[in-house]
Amino acid sequence: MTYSIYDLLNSTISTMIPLLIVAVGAMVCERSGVTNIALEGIMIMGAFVGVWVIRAIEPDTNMLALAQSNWDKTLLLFAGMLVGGLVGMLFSWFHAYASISMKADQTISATALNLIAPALAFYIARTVLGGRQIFFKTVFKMNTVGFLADIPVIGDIFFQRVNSGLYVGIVILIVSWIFLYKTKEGLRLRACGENPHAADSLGVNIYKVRYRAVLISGFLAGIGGVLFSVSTAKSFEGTVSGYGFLAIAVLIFGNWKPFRVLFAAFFFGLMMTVGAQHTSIPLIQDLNLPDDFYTMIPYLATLIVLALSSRSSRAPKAAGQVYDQGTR
Amino acid sequence: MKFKEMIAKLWLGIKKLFVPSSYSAAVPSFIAIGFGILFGIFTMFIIWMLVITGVFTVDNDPQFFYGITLLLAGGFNQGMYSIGYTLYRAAPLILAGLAVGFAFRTGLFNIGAPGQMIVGATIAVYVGIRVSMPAPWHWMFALLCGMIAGGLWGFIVGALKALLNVHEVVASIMMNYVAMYSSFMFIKGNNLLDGNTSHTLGVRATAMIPYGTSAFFGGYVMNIGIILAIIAVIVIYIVLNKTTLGYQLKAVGFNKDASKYAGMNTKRNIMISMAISGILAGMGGAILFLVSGKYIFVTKDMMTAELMSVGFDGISVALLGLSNPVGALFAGLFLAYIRQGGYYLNLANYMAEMADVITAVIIYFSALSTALYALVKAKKLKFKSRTKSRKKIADEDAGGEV
Repeated sequence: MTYSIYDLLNSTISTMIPLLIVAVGAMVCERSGVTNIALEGIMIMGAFVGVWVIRAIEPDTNMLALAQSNWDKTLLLFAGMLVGGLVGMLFSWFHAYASISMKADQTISATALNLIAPALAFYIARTVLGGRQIFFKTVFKMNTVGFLADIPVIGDIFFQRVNSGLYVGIVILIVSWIFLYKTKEGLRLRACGENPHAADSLGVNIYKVRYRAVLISGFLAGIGGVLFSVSTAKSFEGTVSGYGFLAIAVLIFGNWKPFRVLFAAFFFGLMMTVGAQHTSIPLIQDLNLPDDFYTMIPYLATLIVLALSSRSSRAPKAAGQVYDQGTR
Repeated sequence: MKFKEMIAKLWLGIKKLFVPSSYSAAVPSFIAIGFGILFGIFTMFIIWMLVITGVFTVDNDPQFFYGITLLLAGGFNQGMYSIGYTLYRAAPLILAGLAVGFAFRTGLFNIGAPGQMIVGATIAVYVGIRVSMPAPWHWMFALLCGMIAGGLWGFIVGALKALLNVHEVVASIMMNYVAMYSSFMFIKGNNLLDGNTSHTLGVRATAMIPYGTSAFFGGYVMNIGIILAIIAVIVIYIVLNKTTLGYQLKAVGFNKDASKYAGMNTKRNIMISMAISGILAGMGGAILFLVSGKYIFVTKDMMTAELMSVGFDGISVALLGLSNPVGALFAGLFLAYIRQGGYYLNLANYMAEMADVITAVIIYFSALSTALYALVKAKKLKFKSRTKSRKKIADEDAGGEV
């Protein structure tokens, strides 16, 4: 079987969706004025519990797990994502409490969460399950999605060999755009990120808005963590390979705007795929570079892209700054 | 009268010597450490309770009280042997903490210490294997090369930040991954691997950092690394507090715009700060690997466990030490101590990750407690100034009447 453009696109999509969802979460959070580099840790926590839930409720044997219909798989994945999201939300509350209520340094409290997550996940997994990894049996990739798979081109890309996370990602992106730009709440949220003092003087409760934004980003990061685990491996390994940080790079590259973030996520997904599948992509395979170089590609590409695009990037003005009503 | 004045002056001097003004600044760290350890003990207790009551079963039941003693005894668990090992572990931790803390003073969050350590260690090991030199110079040269490599790695991030406005946190994270895979390529490309294994050859005996009183410390890897780390602490202390460069770097950290207005070259300062930070981290990486029986593994897991994690611990050390060089020294020693305790927790059927959990909780609480402390201080100050101004007004009123 030759490697077709659809193979490349399919893999790119399954890599980019977790990135996209987490980046959208980061976007909501940063637009409200709170930087959230704790996403890595939140993803780990969400993935840890989410995958655990999947493992607990999926069929016991490999045969039954493989025989699941698309609906079964989707429901199972949704259960995992929901739990993962809720756990992520709960975990992100600690960041919100420290950085909003306690006015702590946002980078420090986020770093603490990033340190806690893998340690706690490993600790609990080793104590309760006896090992660092959590394996699951279900293959979430759906070979064909009903009659939709027969549509030319679109069917090949969106309705073959994808998991239902793809549709969730698209819905989340569109909802986030509507929320940020078409609702009163979204306007208030953006105001909090640009000029919290002005927003406060107009009666917006900055603390409440920011809390909500951080919790939303936690929920999305939790979902992203679960999706990362189910689309890259058959187990939770106690890490999300720096996706939480990559999501922030995606956000910066995407200039804090929903559809640019989509484009950025696609670019990173493509780089990841090229890095991971270099042995089977015809043109790249011929270059004969060391394996480690290919693995390095996404990170190197991130650096180059950031170097080229950061100059003109415009972060929300109040992002990263502690809001203190007393300084108004 | 004069005698009394002299006594008062002397007393003030003594007080200044033993109760430096930074003492009260360290209070939040101690509060955080207390909370962290309490949290750890509490978690251990919960697990113990859950096992005892049969909520879940494990192969070997944890022993709660034994676990606590092991954890708290930390680096003292096996006498001089474990003290020596704790000191050996502390040296790179202190240097990594120094690196992160130094950058922090310039307002930069150098989360790239892991990458700088990797590069430093790789180059130092390369020099240690491939170059032949007489004894006292070889290890110094290897160490120097490691420091330069780390400094270069840090400088790249600084330059990206200063010239192209790239967020230093994201850039350094990416540089960490690039460092890891570049190191793999470098090691494989230069045939540094030991036969068919996945680790490097050992460095030559001349390139090993000299052993100090290792016989005293049970013959383990205790070398003069800790002394080198202390020298670095002193040098950085002097640079930060007694030189123009240090003053400028701190000024940029306090207020970038104001220092720019005052005529300082903020861009140059950012690059210098990151380079120095990288030099320190690189030194830590080199010290960690210029010993006998220590090899760099070219697998992601081992690299993460042996080098990356030390670099990330540097962040904890810096935060706990309040970005102060002397603070980093004590925080590094403490972290090595508690890690050593965690290492022994296996004996009581608890997982060694407990030490990581405790460290992370300590950092979270130190973020909170610094804020709390600032809050309390601000309230106090407000109160003081209010009473003062009231007094002043009262005095003026009284004066007016007369």
